[in-house]
Amino acid sequence: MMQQKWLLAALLALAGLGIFAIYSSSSADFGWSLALRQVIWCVLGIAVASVMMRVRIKTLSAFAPLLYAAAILMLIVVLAAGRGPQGTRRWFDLGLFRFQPSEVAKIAVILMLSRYLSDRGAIGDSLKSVLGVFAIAAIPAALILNEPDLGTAVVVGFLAFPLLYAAGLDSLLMLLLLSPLIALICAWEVVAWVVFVALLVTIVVFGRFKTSLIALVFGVNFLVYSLAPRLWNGLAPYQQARVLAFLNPDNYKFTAGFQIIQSKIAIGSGGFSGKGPLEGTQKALGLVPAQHTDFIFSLMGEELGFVGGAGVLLLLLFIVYRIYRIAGTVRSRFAMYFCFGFASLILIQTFINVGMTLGITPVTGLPLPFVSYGGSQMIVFWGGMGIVLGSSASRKEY
Amino acid sequence: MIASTKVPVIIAAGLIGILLAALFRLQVVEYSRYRRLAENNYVVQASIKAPRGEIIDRNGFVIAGSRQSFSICAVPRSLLANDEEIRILGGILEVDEDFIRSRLKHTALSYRPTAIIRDADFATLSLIEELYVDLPDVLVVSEPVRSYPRGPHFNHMIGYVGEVTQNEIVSESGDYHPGDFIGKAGVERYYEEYLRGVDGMRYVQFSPGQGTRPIEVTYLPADNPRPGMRLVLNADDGLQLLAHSLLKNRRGCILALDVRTGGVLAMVSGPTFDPNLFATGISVSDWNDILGSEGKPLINRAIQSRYPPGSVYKLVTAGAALERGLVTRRTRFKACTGSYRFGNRDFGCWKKTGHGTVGLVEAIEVSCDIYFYQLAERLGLDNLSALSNEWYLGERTGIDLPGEIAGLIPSAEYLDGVYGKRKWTRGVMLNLSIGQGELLITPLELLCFVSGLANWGTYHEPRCARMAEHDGRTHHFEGSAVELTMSRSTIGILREAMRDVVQGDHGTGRSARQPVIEAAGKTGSTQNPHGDDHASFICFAPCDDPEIALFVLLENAGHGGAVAAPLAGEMLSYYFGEGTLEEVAVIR
Repeated sequence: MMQQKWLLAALLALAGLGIFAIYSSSSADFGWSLALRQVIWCVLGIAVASVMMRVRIKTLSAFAPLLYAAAILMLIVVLAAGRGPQGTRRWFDLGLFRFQPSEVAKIAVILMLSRYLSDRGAIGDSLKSVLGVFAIAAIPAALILNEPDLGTAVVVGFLAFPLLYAAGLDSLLMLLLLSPLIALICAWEVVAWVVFVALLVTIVVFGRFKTSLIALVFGVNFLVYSLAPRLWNGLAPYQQARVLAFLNPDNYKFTAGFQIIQSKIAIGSGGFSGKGPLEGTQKALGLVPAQHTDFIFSLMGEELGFVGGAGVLLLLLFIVYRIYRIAGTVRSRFAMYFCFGFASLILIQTFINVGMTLGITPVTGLPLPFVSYGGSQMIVFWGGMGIVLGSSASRKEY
Repeated sequence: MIASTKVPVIIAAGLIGILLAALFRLQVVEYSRYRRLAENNYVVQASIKAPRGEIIDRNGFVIAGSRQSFSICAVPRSLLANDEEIRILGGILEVDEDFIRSRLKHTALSYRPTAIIRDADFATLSLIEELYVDLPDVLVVSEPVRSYPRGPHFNHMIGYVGEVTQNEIVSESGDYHPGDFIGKAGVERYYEEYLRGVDGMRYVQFSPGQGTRPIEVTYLPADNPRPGMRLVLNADDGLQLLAHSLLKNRRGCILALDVRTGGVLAMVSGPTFDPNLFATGISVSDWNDILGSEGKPLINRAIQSRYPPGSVYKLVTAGAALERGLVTRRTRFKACTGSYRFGNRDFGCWKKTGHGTVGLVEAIEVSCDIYFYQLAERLGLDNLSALSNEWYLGERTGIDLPGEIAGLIPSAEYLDGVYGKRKWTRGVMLNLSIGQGELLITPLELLCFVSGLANWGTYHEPRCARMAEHDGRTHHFEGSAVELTMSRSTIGILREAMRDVVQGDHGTGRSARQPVIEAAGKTGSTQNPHGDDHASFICFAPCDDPEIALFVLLENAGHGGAVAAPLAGEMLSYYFGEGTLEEVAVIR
């Protein structure tokens, strides 16, 4: 526990910066109330973490399938009875707060994958195990996609990859498995598509894969290419608009690109040292929407400048690094998988969230871990941290 | 086997590195460009308020609508920094400078225009236009406000709206902003999520710190507001207006239910208030006037006041005795001489000369207290309170209005608590049997019970609103229905007795009798320490196939049969007769 004091310090610093940013962005409309609520979420989160720390790894492993089933059930119920903006069904309104099952699903998927992989030996090239991993991640991802919440669905589905890596899956095979996602991006430009296919062929030539696997990979990739227009049409209009606005924000200056441009102006005008705490001008115009939740980084960039923004990113990188290190030292395979998955979750969510405020990733509704306003995310991420700290403390027991 | 953590750490450093590089490029390399953009960033999003959904009565008359009005708004952050401008504005609006500051208090740091006064008159608007050069941070915004075109007779059912408080902004699930309106009471509150629309968005041109006036930008696409859903009430405007004029702002209430559905046909409570005071944000002095007013006009007496039910409760006592098999419709007790000796106390009958020997049905017809004292001795407190509870008395009815309270049916434990264990005598029970003493019921609870009798035992949860509709989408609001655990023969005897109360030669409710229809009812006159008796009358009609159930209660007004029953008669006459709205207008 004591050897993780720097990790704890980083987490508390991050949460403190988040509370400051929430106060700064919401005090004009809500006074202290949102910041105070976040303090409460933070305290609750730490309480949950200290409970999770004391839960034995074996117990967690035993309960993982149950938690996973409960998460799936909640995702089904939220589709029937949930609420959200613009007719989406993302959360339960519990009066005091909104409970978002997809946040819980993130942890449940990592736990379930850890259990699944720790029950098996080295995964090698066992296609069956690989498919099992994908199925565990894909079921909740598909349900979340129906809410619809594209960003969270992508993150949950993506969790399969770091865990497969941790299970020792061959790197080239990983690339093959990831190739359909890359195909989806390359399918729109002939040049990109040709390069992509060429790379795919190169990988296949250098790796020694079964013919059946090669056939499958090529089949799936060409299917993605031909179905790409249909997948695009399957997106909701606002999702399409977000992607188009991401690719060319200036053409959508006053519609879907509005957020991106306003966020970039807020951050850019902050300069090296920022405009100073509570001194942001762009926030007061109400120009950056969702600034206490998804776009909180733009406020930090504006008021705290490059110094503060880089500080937040480095704190997150330090946290991710420490969790990967813990993953490398724990004896329990279950705990190792969990730490691996959890660190990757923080990393990918940070990248997509901060990237969106800087205009380098598309706009999605993903919170910045430990920072954005929201009870579900605070409790889930702190709870996950509790498991990590618990496994780091128990590493000598085995 | 443990996987190497080197690769993921490198990937993590790479991804965070990409973000750092992008951040550096925006904030350091391109800083001057973005700083310039921020300074000229003069397009502000401002909301367009959605009109609240209309509320209409069963015949389509608009009870609550909305009209456009002009609000004088200001950009809080820049106005608050300009004392001279506040002084000029205060002069035009004829308000204190502190008032303006207090209106902007909660949004002091915001550039989002905030209303200072609403529904400004033409003279004020003209002055603002003339002096616009001196008022760079003030703008006039057209906003819909609530209006109640048919007058105040729907007050307590509809409730009123008001600006959201800071507490509501945090605790309500919808996204509310300072200055938004929200239902505060009645149907406006209960159906807030249906009535409230979705605000639209427009763009206002504004340059921070340059002191130029904000203007509407027309070349950018605005997001049109979506009005709230239209709410259809079960109430009948004519009947409601009649009830309002019959009550004449006295303390009391008049309630009418559709027996077959539980729909609230009319609900008025007196004294009343002017809902239009609330529509544009009520002033502190008006609010204090209403709160301090002696008659407590904000209370909806039909659901938020509890009264001893008086003789109306004899229906429950009789029903309980019949259900327990203690009496039949013909059972007679000792003759009524106007007084009854119990222990060392005399309990009187309201008719000092006595009723002589009567049976159960006749005892209800003439409302003989002595008969019920003797019935009470046989029935006992436990039976009365258990059956009252079974018939949902002393329990909220579940009407679709906020703030309903529950009545109180005293049990032995309750009386132990009041008087000390076993310190109360069975004499208490005598009082309870005629609806006096510790017994407290809301008018709506009592009417729902009688409506259940009229409906042969089917008890409907009352509903003010029938449905909400918008663009072909409809939501129906039906209350649940339950069966009262009362035998058909008991209900039959009570109905027969109630019919005699109105139609019989000696009935106490004869003054409610109407030529157009046969009605069944029960009078009540409740002694109370504040003056004259509370007069009440409960009834349903027609006797054979009831459609409507009515309850009239007037505080400190005298005898139910003399004061309340005639009003119920007028309501019945209108409902079943040729009564038109014009006639009602004449009455008013």
